[in-house]
Amino acid sequence: MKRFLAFAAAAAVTVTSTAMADGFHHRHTSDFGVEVERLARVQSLEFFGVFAPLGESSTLSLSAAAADANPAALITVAPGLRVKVVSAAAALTPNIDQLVLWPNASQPTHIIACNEQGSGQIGVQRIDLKTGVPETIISSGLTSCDPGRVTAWGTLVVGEENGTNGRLFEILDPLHTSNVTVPASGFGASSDPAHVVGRPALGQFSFEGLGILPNGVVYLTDENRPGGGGLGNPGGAFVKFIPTTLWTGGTVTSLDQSPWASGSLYGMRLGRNGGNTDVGQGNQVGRGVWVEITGTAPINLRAAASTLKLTSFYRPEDMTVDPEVLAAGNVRVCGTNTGQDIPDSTPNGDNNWGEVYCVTDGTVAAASAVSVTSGINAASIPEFHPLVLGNSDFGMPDNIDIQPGTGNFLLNEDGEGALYPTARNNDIWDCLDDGDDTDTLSDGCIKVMTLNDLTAESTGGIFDASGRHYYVSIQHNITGHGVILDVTGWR
Amino acid sequence: MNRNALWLSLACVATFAGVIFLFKDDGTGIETQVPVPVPPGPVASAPPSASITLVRTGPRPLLATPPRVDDAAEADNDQMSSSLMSPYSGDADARAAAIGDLDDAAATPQSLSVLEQTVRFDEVSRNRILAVDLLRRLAQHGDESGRTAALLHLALADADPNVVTNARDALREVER
Repeated sequence: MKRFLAFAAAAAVTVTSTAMADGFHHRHTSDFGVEVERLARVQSLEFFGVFAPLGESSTLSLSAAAADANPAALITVAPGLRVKVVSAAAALTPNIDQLVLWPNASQPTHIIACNEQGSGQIGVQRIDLKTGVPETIISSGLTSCDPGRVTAWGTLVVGEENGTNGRLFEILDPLHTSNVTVPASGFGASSDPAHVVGRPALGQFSFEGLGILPNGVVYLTDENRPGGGGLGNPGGAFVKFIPTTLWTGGTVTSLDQSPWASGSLYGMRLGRNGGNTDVGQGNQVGRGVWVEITGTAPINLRAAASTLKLTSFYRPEDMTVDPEVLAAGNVRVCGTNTGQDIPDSTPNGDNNWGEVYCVTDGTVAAASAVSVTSGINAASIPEFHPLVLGNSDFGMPDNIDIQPGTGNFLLNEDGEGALYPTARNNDIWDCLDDGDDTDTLSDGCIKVMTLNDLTAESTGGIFDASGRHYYVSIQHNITGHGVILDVTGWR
Repeated sequence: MNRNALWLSLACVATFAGVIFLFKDDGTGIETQVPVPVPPGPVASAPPSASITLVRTGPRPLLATPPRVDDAAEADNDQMSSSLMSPYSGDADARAAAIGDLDDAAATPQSLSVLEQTVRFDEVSRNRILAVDLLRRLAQHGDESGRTAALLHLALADADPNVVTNARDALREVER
């Protein structure tokens, strides 16, 4: 019997081998990539904290009446998640972009929101998390307020996504600062200079991505598309500001104590081969150098990027500091280059679905040091790698946040799905970080939310410190006023 | 016929069919074209109840003036969300931005003309939804001529159920 079994097994192996060899020149009957995607879905509870991912993007577009009756219905969430309305007040500004949890992400009492409208409209509001009532901090003067962050020294920073007129402002005590006006351009005094000041030392471009270290070093991106002002002109650059005096702890009591009063600027230029000369089109990945940007504040950073041949990207958007890497004393900031996903059914279709990237910059100490030789700050070496590459279902990533606890990336899509032959809504994706495998890419993504308003996008998605509350704005939605939601239920 | 013969016959038929399928030629040397999905189109004609002045246009609206943008944003082209302000995205986003620039407090002949063209002809349902929503807001400020309501009635005949729902809910608000 044993001999028979051995013979049968050998025969089976031979037949199988022959069949495989015979099928060598044919395509595989199974798709390994599809299998990986399936595994990510099946294991969504373990890896993403939801019972199951969403499938197709919603094609629904609520009416204003329906959305006003139930603002939570503006979004469909993955099984297990729940939606609560933080605010849908009529006075909540309609184009809220980035959100800041104040005074911190551990015990926030308010959300502070940037409103991306013209200089005649409200620029910054605070929203009481208990009541949802909005109040105005900056009433006018800001054009396209987009980024917002809390600094380690206790101020709030907001910025304008406004081309070479873009500015950064610091706000002291934002809960007791109201109805301030700032000049529509330049760095003249605000109506309350003790509480709101512009920061010319950080230069000017279209601010969106801010990656702020506790010592005041900040990474900045310019939301600029390539070809602006002339064919072949660069897109948005990646810049670092190092304060003259690094912040060492505590909180400021006056804005003139801020480390952002003065400092130096450096632009990222990828390419180190040949004495840092393998620079230009074709080199957008890997290691590079920090090129010193000189001039009198406020420096036009977009012009400097062109002159200094800084590496450029297709509309860099939001950015976040990786807290786990920072806790280990190193720097890793991750952001989005949104691209342009106009469907290929239109003449202008690019099928450039954008990307999520991460830049490492060595240790915090090295990243914060200045050691300039021949115009290069050699104290640290920036290294750029993509983390997620967009696709037709996940195009134009915009806002980004890392979920505390899991380290997953939550990404707000700002795509052109509404222009697709079958119009679809923007989604929110949940992506794993890169693991111990040999590539540098995310190990998998699933769709966890989809909007139900073809006229809207989700913006400013941000977690509290527990990782259990995800606050998100439904920007320029059909109601005509702002809507901020709190998504909970993460396992 | 015994069982083996039956299986053999079936195998021969299947093989023959497979060979025919693999080597069939449509005579052009080009792969058979896959039908392109046709997007749900805007309304074809006004319902009988609508009493509006027809504006003769081409198949897509041609705006008299380009969308207004702030000077700074003109240089940057990124002032608003990319989904509404991109100048590289063809006409659709520019048309959406133009609707957003219309005064929502008072209807003018020009704005109603733009909205009618959008409801009738814009191939992007999002833009037709934006037009319906602006009509809703205009109607809240009064509609003595009945034109905004008539255009909302027109949108009830849209091929896209999202547009119809938005128009129906808007009419409920207006008629309340």
